[in-house]
Amino acid sequence: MTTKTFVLNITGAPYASSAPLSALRFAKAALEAGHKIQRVFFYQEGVTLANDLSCPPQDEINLTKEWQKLAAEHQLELTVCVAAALKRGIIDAKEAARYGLEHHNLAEGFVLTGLGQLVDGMANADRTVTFNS
Amino acid sequence: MKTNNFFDLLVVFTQPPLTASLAKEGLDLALVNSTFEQRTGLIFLGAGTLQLQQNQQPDILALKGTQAMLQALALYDIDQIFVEEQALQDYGLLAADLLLTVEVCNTEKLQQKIAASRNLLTF
Repeated sequence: MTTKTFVLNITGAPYASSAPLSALRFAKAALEAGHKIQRVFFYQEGVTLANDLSCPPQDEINLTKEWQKLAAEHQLELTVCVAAALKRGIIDAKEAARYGLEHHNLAEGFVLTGLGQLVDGMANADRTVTFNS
Repeated sequence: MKTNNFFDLLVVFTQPPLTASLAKEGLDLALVNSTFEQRTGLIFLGAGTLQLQQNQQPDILALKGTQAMLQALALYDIDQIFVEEQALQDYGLLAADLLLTVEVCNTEKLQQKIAASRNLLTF
């Protein structure tokens, strides 16, 4: 079997859609099978996964933490569309300073980036898989 | 990766205007894709064809609309724009009355376009 590189484009919100969970399961299966996840891109409603303040009940899966864990284990890039994120209240320290806001909530391990990261990923990966709502 | 495909990306629009940020986010992506010198085409399907209607007044709803972005496509060298023939009939639209110059495609032709693209993203 040849190794393939994937880009995952996650556009569905956690809890409101199955997108981040399906993508997580896909990523684990792909990595286990020896494939590469070149980049994970969060776009549209998918950006809300990067909210550090999400507190789901303890007996439910915490999707943000699960993604952080997988990313740390496999050095995955968790990239978040900056325009989509700011619009939906997902903001890092730098952007908070720029907009004069007191708080920021981008979870550790996620980075705000431009759409160019998705385009670059799509251009270089063997396959881009979208997980939507 | 080497490819013989005609398009690097086709962006498909399926939602009517003034409903959500979807169409804007699809157009954003198409524009960025083109600035990265990726061959980009657009497909308007079903209610998505309504995005191309002229004389929309989004400001009445305190919305921004996508007309300006659509008109800017040519500046980004995006001129491969395909519209579903059946949708035009369903909504009583004529290609000549649309905001942009488009190629009207039947289902078979659309399938050929999609098959000729490395990537496909639907909004």
